[in-house]
Amino acid sequence: MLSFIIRRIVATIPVMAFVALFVFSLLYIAPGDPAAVIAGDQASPAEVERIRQGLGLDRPYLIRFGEWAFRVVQGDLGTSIFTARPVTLLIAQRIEPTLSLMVLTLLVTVLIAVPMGVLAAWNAGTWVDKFAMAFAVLGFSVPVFVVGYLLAYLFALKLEWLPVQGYTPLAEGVWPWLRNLILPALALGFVYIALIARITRATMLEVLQQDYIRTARSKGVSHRNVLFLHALKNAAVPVITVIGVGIALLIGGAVVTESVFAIPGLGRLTVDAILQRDYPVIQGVILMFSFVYVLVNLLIDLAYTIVDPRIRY
Amino acid sequence: MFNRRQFIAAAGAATLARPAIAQGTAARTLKFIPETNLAILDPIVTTAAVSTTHGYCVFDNLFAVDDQLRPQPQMAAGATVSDDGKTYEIRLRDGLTFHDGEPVRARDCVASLKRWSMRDSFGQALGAVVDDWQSVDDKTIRVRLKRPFPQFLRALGKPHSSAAFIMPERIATSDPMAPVKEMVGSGPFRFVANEFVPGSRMVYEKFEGYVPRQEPANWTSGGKRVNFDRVEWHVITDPATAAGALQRGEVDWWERPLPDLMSTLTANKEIATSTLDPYGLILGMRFNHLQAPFNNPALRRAILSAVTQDDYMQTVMAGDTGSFRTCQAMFPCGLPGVKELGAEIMRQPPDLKAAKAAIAASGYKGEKIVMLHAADHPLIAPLGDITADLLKRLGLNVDVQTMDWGTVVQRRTSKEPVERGGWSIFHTNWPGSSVTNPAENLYIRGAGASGWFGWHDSPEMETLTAQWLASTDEAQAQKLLDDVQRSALTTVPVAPLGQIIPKTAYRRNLQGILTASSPLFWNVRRG
Repeated sequence: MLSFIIRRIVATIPVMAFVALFVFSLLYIAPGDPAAVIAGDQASPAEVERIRQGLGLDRPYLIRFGEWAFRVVQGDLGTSIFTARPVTLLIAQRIEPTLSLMVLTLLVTVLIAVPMGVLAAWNAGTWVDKFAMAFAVLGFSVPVFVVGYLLAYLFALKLEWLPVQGYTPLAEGVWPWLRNLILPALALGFVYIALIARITRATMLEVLQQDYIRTARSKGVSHRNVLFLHALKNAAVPVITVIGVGIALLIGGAVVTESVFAIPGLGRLTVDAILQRDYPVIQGVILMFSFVYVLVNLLIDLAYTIVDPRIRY
Repeated sequence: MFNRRQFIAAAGAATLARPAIAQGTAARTLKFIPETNLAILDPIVTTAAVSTTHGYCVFDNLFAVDDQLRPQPQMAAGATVSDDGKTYEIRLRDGLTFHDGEPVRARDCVASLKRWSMRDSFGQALGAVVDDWQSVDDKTIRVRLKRPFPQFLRALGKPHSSAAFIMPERIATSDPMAPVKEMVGSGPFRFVANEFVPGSRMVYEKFEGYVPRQEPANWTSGGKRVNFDRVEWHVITDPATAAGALQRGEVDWWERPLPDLMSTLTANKEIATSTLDPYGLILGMRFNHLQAPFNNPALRRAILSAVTQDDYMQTVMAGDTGSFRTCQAMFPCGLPGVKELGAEIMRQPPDLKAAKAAIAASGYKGEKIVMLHAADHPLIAPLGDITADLLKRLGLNVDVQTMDWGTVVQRRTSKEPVERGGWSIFHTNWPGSSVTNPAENLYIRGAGASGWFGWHDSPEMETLTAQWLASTDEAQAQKLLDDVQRSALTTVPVAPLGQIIPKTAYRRNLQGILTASSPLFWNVRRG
């Protein structure tokens, strides 16, 4: 197991190197100029050029990439062109809101989607199944920002139960923290619930046709135990895989959700950096997201061994 | 470099730094949504309006302006000028202190003015005639000029887009083309750096060491009396969310609501709206003078004659006719001395047949017109839509290239023909208070290849501007201002598309919001 983990971690190095090269190159050829953004609308071209030179943006691609890559391997993601703050500091400032949002979304999703999928499979063809699948179709069809606006309108503006926007750190109390995150987590989780409910249902339907399920039923095992101990455990591997893959979906969704609910997380940091062409920040955040994605996939692989003892590394 | 321990410490600080605000403290905190994200803290290096607003919190000026845009002493006790008009002496008033506790000295002002004069257009005009900047003693600044510069105090007091803010000498001696790294000023608010979350939150605390002037506050001049202990800027990029936050009372003041949302806000009895800046924003269509077809002034004049400003402003301001005015001039209407000299060429409604004939007579041969269309900018995007429709109706070959504003500001730097990535037209807007005179008005200056994007080349305009700067006689200055307009209306460096006066929105319990070119946080109190 340990050698597997080490091998996988070592395997992330070429992946990260490729991501670094790809992101840097993409930004190099993409239109936009941070010097022009810094200078403002009323600056002259000569002033923009002088700022560009001051930032070192006029230097050749290979020199800029080489310097950046050399710093990255030392753990230094560079400095924001606009705020002159280290990118790692900016990420550190923004990590808690995004992490909170993603964890809460994941929790809400699993708690709703897995039972929904199980119940839909158990009651396949009934109104319970049809309701669950109709919900899933809705979840896939409605964009996250629309769900966000509807939730904010109803629960924040009309009923005044929850705040419209913002984020309160966990250190200021669990309820203040939670009340700012309920609506964003529900909005972000909407599509994710649909996805996992559908996968759970499909996998459960397959498992429920297996001989050992019939055997369990004929032995008189209760419905609940058949479903949650025998069937769900065997259906868990694909569900866990989808949850892992869905992390990418969450990261993309967090960008929109954080904008709609004005949460100062990594999603908004990314959007702001892209709009301003703050290259070191864009590169740093994408590298970090890539690393997280690779790490999550490793954890998913390890989780397989827990739900299916036949899997060994 | 930022190491692992510092990263963990920063993550912890981000969690813990925000102080738990008790109920009483909350009442003494003003929560404000700026027009846009404060990307650059240095208000000298950039002309961005939001950075100027930030600048007014942290820094102070030697001179500021009143509601007639006349310069008034601010940090200065007063100024004298020699009989030959070539030496100015400015005496600092008592009680000026930087936020780090150091007194403001004349050498801080000299260093700040030198840096500003290398960056700002009005400052550059002044810098070109300065022979020597001197600090005579801690309280006295002496500026010796090569020739008289009657607009000296007006330049020092310019209210917008790189105003002449004063910084400590150690900061002001840095490169004027790179943002300063430290936010220490002598203004009425102290910037709280450890609570700064770029792109999300900026915090200012009342500077107890600030000594306001005795006069009442008037635009950027007068006594800056602060009634809040703390001002928090919350950057909310989504307009619907910002509107919701204001309606719920989660914030107190939203600088510039989206015009489409104004009716929702005004329907709420808890929310008031008002005009912040009566000179508003000037909407403009900029031509590329280097490349065909707009290197032809006859074609530019034909386009100008076909413009209906109402179409543009109605669209931008969502039909709120009380929030815009037609302005057929090259300077903001409403300013003393500004006449609508463009009324003759921009007749309303325009005669499109005559415009088409003028286009044909100009020699236009169907060359491609590339319009850079910033689709992500709510006040600029509609301008492109209207222009595209107008040019098509005039029979011009227009290629609308849609992109974000960040790409427009890069693409517009290209001097190449359209076949090689160049451009023909882009749209923008500029604060009226930033273009109040020929020296400041980059959009009509004629400096050619070294001028503003579009590179309008007009030696006549440069001569008139120089004459206006040197003019000591009011009547002569007025005549030169008119001549500048006439010249611009002949060469058409830019087509003015109207003057919009956006409103600001705030909770009704806020009182004392000043009319000015930027939102100002002194004088405001909770009623």
